This record gives sequence, structure tokens and C-alpha cells, in this order.
Amino acid sequence: MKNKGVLVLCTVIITGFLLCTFAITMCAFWDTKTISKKENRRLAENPEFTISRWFNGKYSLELSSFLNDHICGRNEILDMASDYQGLLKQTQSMEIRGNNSDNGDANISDTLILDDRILMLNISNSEYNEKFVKNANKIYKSLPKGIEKYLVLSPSRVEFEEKQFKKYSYDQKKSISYIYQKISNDVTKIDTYTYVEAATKTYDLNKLYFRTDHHWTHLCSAYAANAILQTMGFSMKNPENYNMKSYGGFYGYMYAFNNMTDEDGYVPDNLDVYDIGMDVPEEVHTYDDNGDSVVLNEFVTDPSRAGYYTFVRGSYSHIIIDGKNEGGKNLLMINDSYANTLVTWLTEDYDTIVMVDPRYYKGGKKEFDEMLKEYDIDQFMICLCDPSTQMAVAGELENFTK
Amino acid sequence: MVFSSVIFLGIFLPLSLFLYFIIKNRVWRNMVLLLFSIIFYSWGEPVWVFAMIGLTFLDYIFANLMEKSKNPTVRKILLWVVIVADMFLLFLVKYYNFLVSSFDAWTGLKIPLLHLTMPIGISFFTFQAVTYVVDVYRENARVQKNFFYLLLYISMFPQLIAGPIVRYADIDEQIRNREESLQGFINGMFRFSVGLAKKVVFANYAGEIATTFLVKNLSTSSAAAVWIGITLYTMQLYFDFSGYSDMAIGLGKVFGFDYKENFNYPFTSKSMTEFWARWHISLGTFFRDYVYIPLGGNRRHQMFNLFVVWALTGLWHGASWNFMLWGLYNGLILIIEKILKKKGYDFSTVPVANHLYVLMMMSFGMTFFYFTNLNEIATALKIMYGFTGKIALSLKEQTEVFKYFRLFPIMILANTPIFKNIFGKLFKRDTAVGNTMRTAAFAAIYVFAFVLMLNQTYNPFLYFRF
Repeated sequence: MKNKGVLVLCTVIITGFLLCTFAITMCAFWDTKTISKKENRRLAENPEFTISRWFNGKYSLELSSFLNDHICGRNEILDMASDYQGLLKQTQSMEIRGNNSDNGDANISDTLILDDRILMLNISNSEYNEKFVKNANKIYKSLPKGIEKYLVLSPSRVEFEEKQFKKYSYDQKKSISYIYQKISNDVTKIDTYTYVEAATKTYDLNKLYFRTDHHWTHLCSAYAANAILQTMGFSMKNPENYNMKSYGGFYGYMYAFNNMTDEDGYVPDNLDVYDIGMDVPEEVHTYDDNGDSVVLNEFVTDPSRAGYYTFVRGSYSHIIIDGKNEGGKNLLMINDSYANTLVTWLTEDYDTIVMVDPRYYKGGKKEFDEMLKEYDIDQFMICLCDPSTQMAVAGELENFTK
Repeated sequence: MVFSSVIFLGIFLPLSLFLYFIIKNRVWRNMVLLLFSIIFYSWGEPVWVFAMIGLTFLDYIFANLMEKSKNPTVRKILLWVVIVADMFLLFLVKYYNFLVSSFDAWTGLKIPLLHLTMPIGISFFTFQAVTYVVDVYRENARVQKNFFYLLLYISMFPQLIAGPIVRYADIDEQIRNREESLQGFINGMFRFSVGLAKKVVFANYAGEIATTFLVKNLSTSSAAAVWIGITLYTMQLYFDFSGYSDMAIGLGKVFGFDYKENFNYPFTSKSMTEFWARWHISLGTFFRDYVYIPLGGNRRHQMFNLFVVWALTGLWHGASWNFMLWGLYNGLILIIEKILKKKGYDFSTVPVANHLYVLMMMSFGMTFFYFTNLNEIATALKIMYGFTGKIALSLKEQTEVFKYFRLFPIMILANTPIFKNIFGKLFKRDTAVGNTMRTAAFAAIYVFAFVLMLNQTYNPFLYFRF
């Protein structure tokens, strides 16, 4: 008799759990959210039922995704899940996480997770390296006569880390030197490495490179800019002479890329911005959903939200910057995001600077030649961080030659 | 539809249970179960569901004709016709392309391939259909006069897509007469939650690490990583498969069915012969009763019979040469064990070493099972035996291993009956305390597994090729 009562009670409890699951799942049909801020992605929509979509299997797949995305209390459940997963994990003082996710960023290799910083690691990739040399030489060769040619390859943070961490990446100094030798003799190669290395003797590495992001800081880029400007015959003020504003609470891309959370205990970076007096870029070109070139007008301008994108408002197909030296030379750079901070130091000495990011540029040689003409380019520069020469970017340079 | 999904746990299961239990009539309860089984299958296979219904109809007609015929020759012909018809569909969708492409490769011919997707669970329901007609032919089971009941047997959602292979003779009576109970509901749901946890917690996490080592980074992996990867894949397969079987058996109990066990702690085995008697028992007994014994069993051509059975077992798992190799590898080991045993060498009596032997042989065999490409098998073996010079785990590999490290000891223990024995001794089955503890365990496991499931990007369905 006692067991019978327990049997009924237990059955009621189990049924209660099943009903709760049913209720929180059914709530999905009343959920109107379209975006998950927590996961930084668009949520699946409630699919339309049609006979054809049923028979081709799309309806069932999409409805499953919809329910997954809109189940009641999803954010709280995800928090619980990461707590549970934390229970299974053996903490290590050092981790290397692979870029294995299906939606992984092709420009990020493995990452070394340390207690206070995250380092982007790169593996030397001879295939991309050779591609870079070949494509860069091709671009330099195709330039109209009279345009001065420059190459700038700068080191990333891991290059200046202690040996025990540096060993997980490749030797960037050697790589830069190899590429500089292989690039055509009529190209001026600018040694930013030595300048940045010198800065590491003066400043703590955390002042020169972010801990939660894979970029260098505004300060570090000033040292690289100094190397460039000196080569061009300009002089540059010491960055300390500029006013500096510091924005706290900056968690960079490496932090987000590795799905770090507050519980990982990372102290955010400071985003130090030197007031050079550079205005918003005159024109930012990108592409719309149809692949047509468009000019962007709206940007996030608050540094605490824009983070590293504070400097030239982000990475786009091409950005036109109005420099302060009216009547001065016009520079066109093919660059990665390392140049976003660096370029700010160049604006005082140029009339116009055109920044073209090969990762976003969808044009070909024709459009590139038109750009050279339209902006009356005097100087051309490929300006990248060295790890980019080991990645897909090296191959994307080919777009400028065909 | 798979069990470890929101749609199943959040809508399908509660709804099917609700509609099933509000009806009191046995016939209508069976119809509800049939309706939900058809929906369950058509959720993933909206077209092939008709093939399943058609195949069942064929078996229904031929079994009835067999029963009516008193002539043994006619009965035999009818049996072979229906078996060939059943197998023809399986052959077309699963084996035709494999045979044709192998033939083309040898002869240089270009016989066109079929562009058919393989219906999920076809090997399971085809074998169930075969057991029905053979058991009716052998008069081990009564012919089913009600087509819908036969369709229910073939399509029953708890075991439709991942087994166990249920024999008609074992379930015939239960379809007509069975008794659902509160005790069965509690025991069944508890068993279901255990299976769900095996799938979501053990299998998915083990599989996630295995995939990293064996697929994404195989060429750069160290020997230790590939061994760990293969071992974890073996664990993934075991927990996934036995987890599905637990869920099927549990759901069966809830609906009043009593399915036979499909796994019996195979990693506690002391020989490979014992291992295969404990792993996927329903498939092993199917081949024993419907292939091995009719071929002569132990009485004549025993070794040949074993080879045939294991070649077929390999092919059942997938239509490619690696599965054939895997099957023959296992067949060979079993034959060697039998020969050695006959000569008085029985390694299963050597403590500890016997378990290690089973784990090593199983894991090694899994290399053939995991990689469907012969070049990949060669690469993996080269790495595993140190020919690439990378032996120890790199920091990156350590990171992967440590990601779910605390799970490993629990996983090892879960390979033994230790939890079951402790739980069973402390909380006797079907007592007030036992039921209370089972309910509490259900709640904890169910919530834990459901929450983790929602956050998992790696939740594969391993049976697509079976």
C-alpha cells in the first residue's frame, strides 16, 4: 500500500518533468526574438509548412532548429550548460585551442590560452608564403610607372613572448627576412620589426599588444609608423606628446572567438587612443547583400563599443582617408587590420590614403587600376602583419592581378 | 527524428504518452502508437516511409499465403520470394552502388550508379521483416492477420532506427496483450534517462574529442592522440548504441513491451568471443539463428560459417571495403581464439591481461571501422605505431583531452556493472525506496542531459549507414 502511494507520486513527478519540457518547448511558438545577443547570431525562424517542404525534409530540419533556438529560458539553460561543462573540465594553466569549429575564422589559427592573455598562434605555411611572394611581385610589377613601391611586414605579439610560448608559433623575424629577399628589388622593404622590438625594451608587452585581442595597440603601431615615415622622409612626434584617452573594459576578438566568459576571470584590456586629430574616414566602401559596391554612412563611434574598430571604423573593402597634408602625396595600401591603427599616424603627412583590405575586396585588376588612377596614387604599399602571409590573405592578393 | 533532440523530448514524447494513456482500449492504444511511429519515421524520411509500409504489406501478404498453403515446396518458394523482395530494397539503396563501383574499378566498365539516399534504419526494419516471415515459415510465430499490427511491429518508434532488432516471435503476444503499469512507467523512464545520458554526456563528448584527433587533425596527430581518438570513438560507439538501446528498452517498458537486452557490459569481457556475445546481442543472435545455424553451425564447416557470418556482419554495418575488412578481422580473431582454446590455450583466464587484450583488439579493429577510406586507415596505423615520429600528446592535443577529462573515470566505470550493482543493492527494485530513488535519479539525469544537449553542437546520428 505504501509502495502504491509512492508509485503514484513518482509517476506524477516524472509526468511533471515531461510536461515542463513540453511547456518550455511549446513556448517557442510564441517567442518573437530574432537575434541572440548572447550568442551573437540570428535565430532560426519558424518555418512555413508546405507539402513540398515536408517531402524534401526541409520543414522538419528547420522546425528542429527553430525549437532549439526559441525554447523558453534558452539563455539560462545555456548558462547552466556551461556550468555543467565546467564540472567536466580539468583546468590547465596553459591551453592551445584549435580553430576547429565549422564556422571558424579562416584568418585565425590556433590560440594559446594563458591565465591572463590569449595569443594567436600561427603555423608556417610554405604554400601561402610562396603564394604571397608570387602575388605580391605580380602586383608590384603591374603597377604603372612612377608609383613608388613599398612592403611592410610587422610582427604580432607572440613573436616577443617568452621562449616557452613563442615555440608554439613560427619565427616571424626569419619569415619577414625571407620574404623581403624574395620580393623584387625595386620595392622598398621597411623594417618595422626593429622599431617594434625596440619598443618592447621600453614598454611592457601588454602596452604594445592587447591581451584579449590579436592586434597591436595604437602605441605599438606608432613605432611601426615611425619606421615608415622615416623611410618616406618624414619625421614623427613621440606618441607621448599626444593626448591619450583610455577606454576600459575592452574584450577583444580572441576573447570572443574562444567563447570566454566572465567566469574565465580575464581582466579586460584598456583601449588607449591617441588624439591625432584624424577625422572619420571620408568614404568607407563595402558590398551589399547582392555583392554591389556601396558606400557606408553609419558607424559605431563609441570606442567602448567599437573596440579596435574605433580607429578606421572597421575592416572593409576599401576606405578613403582624407589626410591633412593637402597637396602632399597619395598613398594606396593593401592591408590587413593591423594597418587600421597604423594609418592614423600617417594622416598628417599624406593628402589621401586609400586602404584596401584583400579579405573584403571583391574587385579585380580593372577596379584596382581605376582606383590607382582615380586617387592619383603616388605610393603603393603592401602593409600586413607577418602572420597574414601564412594565411588565406596571401592567396586573396591574386584578385588584384586578374 | 532522434531521441536526443528538443522536438522529441519536448513535443513528440510527451504528446505520444499523453494520447496513448488517455485511451483505455488496447486496439486504439496500438493505433496511437502506430500513428506516432509513422510520424516519427516520416519526420526524417518523409518519402521512404512509404517504402517501409509497402515492404510490410508484402510481408503481410506472403506470410498469410504461407500460412494458408499446406504444400512445403510452395511455402519454401513463398518464403524465398519474400526474403529476396525484402532484401532487394536493402540491396538497391545500400549495396548496389558499392558493388557496381567496385566492379567498375576492377573491369574499367562504367555501369551507372543509382542516386538514392539510404533510408535511416533500413537494415533494422528489413531484418525485423525477415525474422517475421522466417518465424512464420518455421511456425515459431503465428501469422499476423491484422496488417496494422504487423506495421506496428516493423515501425515501432522506440526501436525503429537504431534497434535492438526485435524478433516477431518475442513480441507477437505483447502487441495483442500487454499490461502497462505505473511500475513499468517509472522503470522505463528511468532507463530512458540513463540511455539519454549515455548518448548526450558520454557518447557526444567522447566523439567530439575523437573527431578532433581522427578527422580534423589526423595528419598532424601524435600516436598517443590517435590511440586516444580510436579508444574514445569506441566509447562513443558503445555509449551511443547502448544508450539508444537503453532508451528503446525504457520506452518499450513505458508502453508495456518487454524488449530483450542488446548490450551486456561488453568491455568486461575476457575474450573477443565473449565480447561479441555481449555487444549488439540482437544482431549477433539474428546472424546465429538465421545464417550461422542454417549454414551448419558448429556441426559442419564451422570456420567457413564463421567467416560468412562476419563478412555479412561487416557489410551490415556499411557498404564499403573497410567494413568488410573489419568483419573479417573479427571473424579471424574469433577463429583463432576457438582454435587456441581447442588446443588448451585459453588466454581469457589470465587476469587483467585478458581485459587489456579485448580493449586493444577492439580498438585496433575500430581503425577499420572508423575510417572508410583505405588510405586513411594506412595513415592512422602509421601514426599509431610511431612511424611518423610523433609519439606524445602535444599541448593542443592535451587541451582537447583535458576539456572533458573528469568524465573519463566515470566513463570507465560506466563500462562496468558497478553503478547498476550499487544502485540495485542500495535501492531494491520495485520497492518504495527504490522507486523514490529511481525517480530522483531520473529527474537529475534528465535535466542534466537535456541542458547539455541544448548546448551541444556535436550531436551526431551514427546509424545513418546501418
